Amino acid sequence: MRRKTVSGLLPCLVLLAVVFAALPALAHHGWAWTEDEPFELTGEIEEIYIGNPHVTLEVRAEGGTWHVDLAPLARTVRAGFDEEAASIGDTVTCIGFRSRDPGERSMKAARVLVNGATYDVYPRRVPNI
Amino acid sequence: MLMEWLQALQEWQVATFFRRSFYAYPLLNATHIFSLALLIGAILPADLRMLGLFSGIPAAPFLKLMTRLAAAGLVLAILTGFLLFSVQPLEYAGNPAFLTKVSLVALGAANAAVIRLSPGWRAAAASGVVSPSLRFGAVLSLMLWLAALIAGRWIAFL
Repeated sequence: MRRKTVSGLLPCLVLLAVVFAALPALAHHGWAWTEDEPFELTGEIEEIYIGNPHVTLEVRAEGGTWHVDLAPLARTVRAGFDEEAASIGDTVTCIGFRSRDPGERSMKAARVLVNGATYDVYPRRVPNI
Repeated sequence: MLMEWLQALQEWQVATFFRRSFYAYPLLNATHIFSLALLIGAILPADLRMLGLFSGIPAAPFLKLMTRLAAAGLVLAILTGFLLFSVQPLEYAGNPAFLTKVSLVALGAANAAVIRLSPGWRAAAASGVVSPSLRFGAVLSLMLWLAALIAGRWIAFL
């Protein structure tokens, strides 16, 4: 009886291990999903979300609308980027790293330039360009 | 209809509060994780006991205690989960991992209800003897809750 139970559990544990091993490759958390080369995007802000869990922008640029992740709310606001920083229609430049998936218009910004101000939401990630 | 309800939920004062809070949101998140720990930390030993592990512990009182703790964890998880969902309802409603998670939780809860109402459960609670059909329910329970946990964690990675 007991042996039967253990042999049934083993495949489940193996499946779990495989799933967790695959996680980092798919992660939109962290930086594993982005390219290593710096990326710069300039366009017009279509949408601003200032809230938990992350601040995000939708930016209209050549070729389509981009989804831009900034930092978590507390970190982004601490960097100075809040409701007063930008409005819909403003021209924005986002410097950071784009998705490794070439078909996906998505990036994570370390620095945001808008209305003459610079906001470093991930100061240690800002590329030297 | 659904879109209007999601829109209204997004504008709910409580959702607005958690959306813009620096401390309440992480605490809400931590409470959700606590409730998952309570749920899985109790249902897992109960399922394993039904499958014949820890046979030195009397099944009847053990299963009663563990399923009560798991039920408390599930209720708290649903409450905190609903509040987390309200912060960005339109975002999560379009997230395949979220929809999978909610379906798995519904199946897990339905499976738990079927087990509780089965004659096999009454026999186990009275005499401690676990029937084969109860064991099948326990295997299903293990798979559903662990799958729900994985799908839930996946929400942030899509």
